[in-house]
Amino acid sequence: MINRDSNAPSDDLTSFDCRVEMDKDTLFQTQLRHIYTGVYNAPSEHVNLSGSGCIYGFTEWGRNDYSVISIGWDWVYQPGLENRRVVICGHPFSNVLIVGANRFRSDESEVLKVFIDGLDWKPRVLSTIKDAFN
Amino acid sequence: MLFETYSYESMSNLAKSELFSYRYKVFVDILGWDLDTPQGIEVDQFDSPAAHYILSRDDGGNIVGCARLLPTTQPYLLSEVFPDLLSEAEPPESPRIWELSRFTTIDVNAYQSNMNPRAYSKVTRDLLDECLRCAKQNGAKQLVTVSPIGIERLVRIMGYKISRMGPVVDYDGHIIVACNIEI
Repeated sequence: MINRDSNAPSDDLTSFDCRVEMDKDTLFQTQLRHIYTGVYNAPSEHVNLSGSGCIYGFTEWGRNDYSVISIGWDWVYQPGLENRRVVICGHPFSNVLIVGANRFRSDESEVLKVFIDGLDWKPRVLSTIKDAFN
Repeated sequence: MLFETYSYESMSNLAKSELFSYRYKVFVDILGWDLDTPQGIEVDQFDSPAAHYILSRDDGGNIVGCARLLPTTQPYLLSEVFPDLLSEAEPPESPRIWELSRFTTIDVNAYQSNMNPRAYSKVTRDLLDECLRCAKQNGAKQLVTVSPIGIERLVRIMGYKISRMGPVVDYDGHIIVACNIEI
């Protein structure tokens, strides 16, 4: 099944498994908006924001014009690491199919991670953590 | 842990009663889903002769997990209730693609809230394995599912290949997404 939006860019179409095909350049030109960020740890768990104890959570970003794009990933907050307090944890989840990347090796995931690095997502996470634990 | 697999037709009325009562306790009482269902039992239009079920029971015979499988050649949850989760794409319709729904391994007598998908139990792992085995026996090559995003994480952590089929949606306070699982 190919479901093409006639207003969409020509390199941007929905594949058989409903994923949105695009090449790497198109992905990196795409603007995503923040949708939701959450914390996995229960607020009652003993976590010291300035000391020890990692906090785990997730964040979701997306685009709703043309073909809908959805990218989400888990993160971990590591209080002891000054410069890398919030980092991606595991591989991203997405409905994007990167043309030319092998989805069953790490190629696609690595492309998505580089894309995520270009998003200003960490302030959202830090804000969510403060709301949840303060 | 004991697993039981039934078609809708082969499941006894007693087992159906136990299952629908368990699902009510899990999805309505514990998880707070706003479902249009009779008091005390959770049943919907997809509990039909096309459905297959997997139940897990503890040593005392209590249901501690369940799941439902439906071929996408029949009306199913994603096609009828949540088509928006596919954006502009048409819902799949194939005897090779089945839907997994009402998947849970909550023990209603010993429930502890834990959102972290890395904290899954052996029961969860085994029930998912049973679901994939049952679907495969019925000719499925892939499963689709409408699930909270925690289930998406869980399936991948367990080593299955899973991809999104569309956007995440905040549905009545629950963040859900349609996914494709390769068997």
